Amino acid sequence: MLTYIVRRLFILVVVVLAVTIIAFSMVHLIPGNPAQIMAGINASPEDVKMMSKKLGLNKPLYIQYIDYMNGLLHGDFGTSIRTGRSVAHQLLTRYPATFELAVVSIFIALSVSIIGGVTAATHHNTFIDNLTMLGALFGVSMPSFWRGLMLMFLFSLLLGWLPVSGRGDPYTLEWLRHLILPSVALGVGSAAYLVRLVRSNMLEILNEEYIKTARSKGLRETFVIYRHALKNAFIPIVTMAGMQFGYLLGGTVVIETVFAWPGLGRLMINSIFARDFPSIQGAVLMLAVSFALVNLIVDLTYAFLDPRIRYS
Amino acid sequence: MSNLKILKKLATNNNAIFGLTVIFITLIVAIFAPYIAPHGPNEQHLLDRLNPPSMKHPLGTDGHGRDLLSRIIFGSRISLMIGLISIGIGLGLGVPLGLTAGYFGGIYEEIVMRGIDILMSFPGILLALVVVAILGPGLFNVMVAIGVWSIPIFTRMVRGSTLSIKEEEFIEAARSIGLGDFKIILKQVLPNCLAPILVLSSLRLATAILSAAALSFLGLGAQPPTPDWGAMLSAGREYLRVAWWFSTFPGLAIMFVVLGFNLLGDGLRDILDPKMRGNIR
Repeated sequence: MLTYIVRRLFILVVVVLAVTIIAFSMVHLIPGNPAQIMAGINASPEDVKMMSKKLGLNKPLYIQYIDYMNGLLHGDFGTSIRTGRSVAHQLLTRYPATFELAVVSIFIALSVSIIGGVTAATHHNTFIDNLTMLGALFGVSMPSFWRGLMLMFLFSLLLGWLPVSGRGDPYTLEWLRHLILPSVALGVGSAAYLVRLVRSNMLEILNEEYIKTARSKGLRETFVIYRHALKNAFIPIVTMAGMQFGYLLGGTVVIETVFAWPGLGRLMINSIFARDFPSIQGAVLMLAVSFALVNLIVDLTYAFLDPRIRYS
Repeated sequence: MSNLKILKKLATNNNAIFGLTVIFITLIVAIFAPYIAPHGPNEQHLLDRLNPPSMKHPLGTDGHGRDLLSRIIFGSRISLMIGLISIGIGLGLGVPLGLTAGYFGGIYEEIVMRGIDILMSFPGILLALVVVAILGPGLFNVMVAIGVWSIPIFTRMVRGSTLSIKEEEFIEAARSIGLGDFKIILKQVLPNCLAPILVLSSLRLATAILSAAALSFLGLGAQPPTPDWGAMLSAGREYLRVAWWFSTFPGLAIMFVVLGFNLLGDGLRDILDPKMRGNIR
């Protein structure tokens, strides 16, 4: 297990390094003069020169990368061109909003998909099964931002039950009310992917001999399903849920815009419009590193749950 | 499986038939848009601003008094174009990389696959956003961004297929009669990878259309007055309280087309490649 963890941590370091290279390269891949673009179309040659100096673009490329990495290791992500504030500060204030949205969404996705998938599998080839699968198909095909808008229209504008947008005061009841619609809009999409997986895994396991044995022992059906079958179906579900969490981190970009949720995604979109590259780079780094960390946790959990991986 | 057998199986697969029907309808609508649409996509009727669905405007009008049905009909052209071009980019670069990496192996494969791993270390939409951030907003740049996002997915899948195909006896036979490596790749390996490529392309087309709509919704894709479904939805958001139809119908249009490609992909997978059950996004 230790060898596996060490190997997996090594992969994480490589991935994080690669992510920093991509984030660093973004500025250099801009067609045209990046200093001119960031300073603005109407900037004077002096302003462009100053911007170039401020960003360190006049130094050799490898020195720029070393400076960039040095800054990152000291928690310095640069200064936002749009707001003039420290990017690290912006990231720290916005990251919790994105993270909580993704966590609540994956919780919704797992709950919906486990209940839906198990019900569909235990009612195989019935109306309930077909209805669940149809729902999953629509869920996969529906744009998350449209789902968000429709939920907003119904529950906020028409019924007035929930707030339209924003985050409210963090960690109060008001915040929880603000969190419901964006996390449902996001979580239902992932649930649609997961429900098919839960169903197919459960169908396979429900035909196993040990399930028949459990039933023949006279165990209650719910006990057989949730303790014997679901427990064994859990390994691929954990992997997939982990992957979905990564996608949710990306998906927050769109949903945050719909609900004016003040997270990293909105910061990134606003920064793309303002060509504020230090902020874009910071947001990309945070989201990609989070994605890599989630993958690491998933792999370790997977190894913990499945001894075949631990000992291979 | 012969082509005739595939067609026969396709004809009995409900998912595939429904998916194909949806795609066929969308194609017809896109091709004959100027003849089907009751109005021009950018024709403004300022007296009819934000009109609800009626006989004159079956799906209502937008904030500029433009007929929504006509804009949705013309929008099908843009959605299909984005989907096809971006998947074309993914296929055009991803498939050759996967074929050569799987076939030649060695250091070349290591380099290609580690590069692919790096691209895969980004959640898909984030990778697309990185590309748009570099190139700037715009319809063409969105197509490139989604194309780049598709490259690693195609490369990984094709390399996997190539690895198993190259161990087959017919490849050994082709080598023994003196066929060159590139001829073997093109004439022996590629045709045997076509089934999973077809399945993946259909499912990726669905994702591409959804993602392009998302990027346009964010204002990074098609710019006004282009009748793009994502951009229309975004414009409708401001009028959600007073004009529900403005955001509802473009969303339904996106869902309809994406559903078609998903169903076709699912159907094709059942017929051509039942083993390929991975979740593809």
